[in-house]
Amino acid sequence: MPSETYERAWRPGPILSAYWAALDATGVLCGVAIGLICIGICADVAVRMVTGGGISWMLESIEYLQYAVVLTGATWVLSRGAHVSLDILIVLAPARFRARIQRMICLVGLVACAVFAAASLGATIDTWQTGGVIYKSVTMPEWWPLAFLPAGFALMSIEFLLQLLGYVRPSERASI
Amino acid sequence: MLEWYWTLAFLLGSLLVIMFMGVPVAFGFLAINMIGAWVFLGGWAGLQQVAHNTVDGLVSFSLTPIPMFLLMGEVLFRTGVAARAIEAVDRLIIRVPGRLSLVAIAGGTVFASLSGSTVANTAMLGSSLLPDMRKRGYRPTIAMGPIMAVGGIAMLIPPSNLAVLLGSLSGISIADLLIGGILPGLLIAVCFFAYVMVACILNPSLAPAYPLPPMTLRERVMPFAIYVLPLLLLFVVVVGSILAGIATPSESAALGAAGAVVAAAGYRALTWPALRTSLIETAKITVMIFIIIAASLSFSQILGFSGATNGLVAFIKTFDLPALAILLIMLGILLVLGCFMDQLSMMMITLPLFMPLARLAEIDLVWFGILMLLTLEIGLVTPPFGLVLFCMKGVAPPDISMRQIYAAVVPFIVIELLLLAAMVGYPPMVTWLPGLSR
Repeated sequence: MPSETYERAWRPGPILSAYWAALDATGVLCGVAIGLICIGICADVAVRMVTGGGISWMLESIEYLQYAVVLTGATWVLSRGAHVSLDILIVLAPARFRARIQRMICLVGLVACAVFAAASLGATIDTWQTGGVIYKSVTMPEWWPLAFLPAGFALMSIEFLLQLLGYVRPSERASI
Repeated sequence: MLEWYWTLAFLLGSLLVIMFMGVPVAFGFLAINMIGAWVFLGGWAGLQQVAHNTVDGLVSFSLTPIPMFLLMGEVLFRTGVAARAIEAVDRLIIRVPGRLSLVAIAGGTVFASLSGSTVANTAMLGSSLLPDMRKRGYRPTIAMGPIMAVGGIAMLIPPSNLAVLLGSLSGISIADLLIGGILPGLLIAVCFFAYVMVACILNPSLAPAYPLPPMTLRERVMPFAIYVLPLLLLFVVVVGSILAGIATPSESAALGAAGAVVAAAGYRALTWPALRTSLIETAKITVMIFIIIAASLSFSQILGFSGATNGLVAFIKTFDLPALAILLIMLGILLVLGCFMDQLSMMMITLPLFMPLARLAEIDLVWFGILMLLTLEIGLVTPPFGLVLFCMKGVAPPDISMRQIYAAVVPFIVIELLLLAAMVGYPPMVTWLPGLSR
């Protein structure tokens, strides 16, 4: 591992390329979902203006779609280096320490995401076993939305692990 | 059981350390949440509770204006409609002293509103507009100041995502915050414009006039009528639908986004790649913001459950401070934090403590919210450590010194502080307009 720079100088293999392509596909899906949310809200307003009553299931569907967007797209955003961070220390640190700091950052992210993935998996299984149901305009088992958490955070753990190992994508890291 | 101040110091201190290490803000919150939930919420059960809280926090229609306002901005930005509008303003005011500085104010307001980041705005305008201003003989003071200070306007005038975020997290009416920011935002803009013009009239060497291709009045006015006036309709749709009670903030934001798409199509600027990029970029920023929101909500709940929030409120209560003193302390803390942090992080860290304090002091929450938004922005540009100042140093030509950057921003900070003081002293400046809509 070069000490001056954290990103590996390498050509990604087919598995890694496929993984990143899949993440990019989730990004496109999230974009489509955002478009659908906009169309859905406008349709709801239009129907309300015309008939006096909106589309009963629209609001909650949008809430859950929005939630799904966040957990589906979080790993894609992470791989693109677009989660905002304070990089003052990294910028000020001597070059030889930067790689270490970045590895430490990945380690913190990996542990936090892995622990939360495990805890939320436990919460999902508990809720599935107790058979809780959400009764609103949209009725569904309570574990459905919860299940996005372990899946999303497990994927983020994998991404942090890859970054820890130096498989960092060329990115536009969002920092302030 | 730990005393509240040790709990508070541990949670806040470790969060700050982890953030300054460079851990992305969302994952910094998450890491501390895992420790905090284990310690204060009862081990494994506490961690599972955080999972439930995360779902509850994110499944919320009140957060929907954020992606919708982002989409509105992205569409205008990616299709080039926003750039055409800025260019039209440029043509219109071609004979006005300090024209490029005024364009920086107008353009910066648009871009900072769209991007939601004053730092990104400074980087963009600093690297694009500043070289042109220098080439035309603009002095550093009048060239850089507006670029750095313009974020204060953007964060107040709708569509301000920071206002939506503040409303979502604090429970303050989002509609009231959006509407309440209009008047102060416009006042700041007017004062900035006035300062630049007066300074350039009194001292023409600040922004020397330079030869321009001859243009008829029609050539100057028509682009404004074509590219700017129709866009004002978007503002009317967003604010008007809330004011008229036709739409909630989430709905008005979606109508604004749809309106932006229609406007871009009307200008024949809507292309598939531009729309695709707009949607994907909106998704990217939305995910980034929402993950922070989810994590910070849990952090706030852990602070509350651990007794740290109540302990702090009770402690402040023993001093029997007047509401104004509590308000000024909170604003002072934000000004200091602005030296090291972006607005989003500052808001997430301070809200769980500030909201109970504001309620304790019986401060009008809309008024407090607007003051907070403006202070967050002032903190970012306050010497010697304001983040925007360093950002400007990074993108400005190498001959620009830090002292020149400080000198450039000071007049604008003075204007913002004076207006902040006026808003503190005369709350109707903020509360009058939201009062009309109730």
